[in-house]
Amino acid sequence: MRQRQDITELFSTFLQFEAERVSGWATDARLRRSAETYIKSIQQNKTSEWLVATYWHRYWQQQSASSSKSATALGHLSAYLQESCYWSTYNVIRQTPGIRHPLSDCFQVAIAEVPKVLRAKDPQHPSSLKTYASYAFSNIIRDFLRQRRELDLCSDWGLLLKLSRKRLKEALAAAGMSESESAQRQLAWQCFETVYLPTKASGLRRLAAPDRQAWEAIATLYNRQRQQLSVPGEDGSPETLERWLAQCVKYTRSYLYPSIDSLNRSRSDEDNSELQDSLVDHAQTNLINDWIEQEEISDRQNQYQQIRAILADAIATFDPTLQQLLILYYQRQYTQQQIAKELGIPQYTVSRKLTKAREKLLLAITQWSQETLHITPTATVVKDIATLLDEWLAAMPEA
Amino acid sequence: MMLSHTQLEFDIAPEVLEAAWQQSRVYSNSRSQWTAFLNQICLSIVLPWLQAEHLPQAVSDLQAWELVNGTAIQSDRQRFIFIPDKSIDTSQLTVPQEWMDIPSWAGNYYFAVQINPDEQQLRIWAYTTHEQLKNQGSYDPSDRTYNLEAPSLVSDLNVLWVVRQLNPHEVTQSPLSPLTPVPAAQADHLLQRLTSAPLPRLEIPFSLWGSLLTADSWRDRLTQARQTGEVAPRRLTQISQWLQNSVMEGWQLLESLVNPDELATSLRQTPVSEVSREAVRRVKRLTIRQQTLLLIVAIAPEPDEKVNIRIQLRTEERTEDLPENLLLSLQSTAGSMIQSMQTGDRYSSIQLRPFKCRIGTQFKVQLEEQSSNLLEDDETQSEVLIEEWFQC
Repeated sequence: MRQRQDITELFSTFLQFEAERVSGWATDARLRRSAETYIKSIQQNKTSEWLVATYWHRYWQQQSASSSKSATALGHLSAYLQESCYWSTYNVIRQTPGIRHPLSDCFQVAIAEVPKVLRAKDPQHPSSLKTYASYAFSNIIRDFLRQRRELDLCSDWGLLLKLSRKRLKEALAAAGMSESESAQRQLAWQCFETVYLPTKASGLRRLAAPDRQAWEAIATLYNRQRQQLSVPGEDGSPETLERWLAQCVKYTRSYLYPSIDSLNRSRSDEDNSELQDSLVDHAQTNLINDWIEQEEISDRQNQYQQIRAILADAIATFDPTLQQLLILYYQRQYTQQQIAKELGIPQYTVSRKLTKAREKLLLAITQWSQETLHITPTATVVKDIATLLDEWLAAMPEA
Repeated sequence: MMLSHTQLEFDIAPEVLEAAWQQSRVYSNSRSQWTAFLNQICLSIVLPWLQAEHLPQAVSDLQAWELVNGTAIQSDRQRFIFIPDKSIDTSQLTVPQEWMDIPSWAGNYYFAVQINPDEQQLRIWAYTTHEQLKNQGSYDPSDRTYNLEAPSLVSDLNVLWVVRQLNPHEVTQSPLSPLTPVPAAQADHLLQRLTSAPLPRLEIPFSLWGSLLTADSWRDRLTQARQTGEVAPRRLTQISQWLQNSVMEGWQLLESLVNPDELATSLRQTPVSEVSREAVRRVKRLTIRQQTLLLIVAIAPEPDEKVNIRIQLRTEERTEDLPENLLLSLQSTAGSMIQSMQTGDRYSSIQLRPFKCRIGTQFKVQLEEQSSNLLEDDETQSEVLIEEWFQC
């Protein structure tokens, strides 16, 4: 993969895949114009990628979700996070045995979640958006793979029991169902679950189809409960309920197995709104830049050196096995199974030792930031430090 | 235990799975059976892990699996609520409103637990606080849940232990409003109605439902009624029968619990000579906030078909003090207050004024804890801990 060079490119190009491999970068013309306009508007010495990313992040957070300005900011940030997403995907796939999904699919699934990542990340906190996003992307891909695997193992009726109400609702909406119809299907699903959970502890996946008697019970319950709906509709016969739930299965499967290739295409291609909309509002630009200026870049680099020293000190107090374990896991990127084999200890011991070591290191850094930088260690702050911890550990020189 | 990056995964031992399954069979429908099954697995795995690794004082606190999903674990005045789920969806944490808006149920921390019985695996994939769920989450009225999206949760549990250590005063709970108590007659009526309802928690308005759940006795009766199909009458202690020496479940002879030297002082304001030979004293042990307290009822026959009754609350260990802000009250069966006593700083016992009661009359003794709301000084919240119903 070619490294992107200039800052305009970073915020306006997207990875292209051909036959599961990266084939290059594609430029979104509209985003390119918008990025150029913004970069021209700011002083030369402030065009670091971090400042520009923070600018668009804050800008995005100030816009209402459906506006075209919001779509532009999102486009810039999705472009910016392409590499983070690619490498997260690459690493998760490398660490997970037996994956049948191509990297490009996993990549598309993760990059589609950029809005959620942007919402959860506070631009004021110390970790960079890239680091934070890498961490979030890894979790998203792991969850996606886990879900896919489970879905493949489920019978249709078992799938219904593995759904959350939220997913079902999303699937029905994606299939174009009206709200009132959707509410009726959701109730039918709830009745199905109340009546028809398996009678064996390990029987969720391979749940067989309900028999006539079960459908009757489901229908009876539905007809009793439907009065609570805002549009109660007609009584449902056992046949109707069966048809509805079979439909839920169908919609869910196609919702959870989307045709993936279209996800990374920048939305603004199809957006016909005037370019004028996405041009930067200068008053606002200055305001946001004023905030960003308050955070001194040189300070940040200085802090990074100090954090390394603190980590090194803390690790030096660990026993030699634990030190070796950290090196294998973070610097040489062994999987836990590989470490267990290498060190001749059970995998759960590896896991437990890693957790404890991580907790101690997180404690040491948080304590330092509390004492030196006077940062109150709230959950959001410590979460942010925790996402950085893995990056710092991976970048530590092998002692 | 397995670390999947930073999330915790546990294998479920076959015997844990089997025991949880067996225990869940008494629940009333397949939904509540599964709720009980998943929560029992969760409790069997999470509690020993918490005790061993982080919270040696942790105890299982509250569960109402017949009615609501979720399990509470208490440790040192903080509550940890675990919400197990069998679905594959980890895009958000869904918490039933009961765990958020009932003051005595609400927790400090909430954990998203995914259980896959087919794989025999349990995964704690994230946590958050009451405060975050309230302020950043969304409320879904269709199933009365609070929801918070995965990226806003904390998936690295190490964060929790570090924050607790370095920032012990972190605000974890949003202020809560007290729920208005439901009159006894209405509570009984609703008990009948909810016994056969498939989804009782969504059947009546939350303000009513939440308030009813607060009372342990009502919740136990509903649970039992749903599981046996019969509404049990309110557990009524027939105290006049004590005079015939009959024994009631849960009530012991005072002498069996309290050392005889202490007996003389056990009903403090009563000179020993005044306690007639016929007086009968029974005691019930209560566990309140991890402390054992004794509710002592002394009765003596009076002329004209009446009984003299004294009611006292004290600690089992004489060296301990009663928790502050406990309110012991005598009430009519309709719930109107007749008299009450409140504990203060370093009280080892409190006693209601002795009263006389005609044989056959019913009354209620209630113990509640009052806690002042830190943010709004003049508002107090109260939580009913114990309700005991008596017939003379």
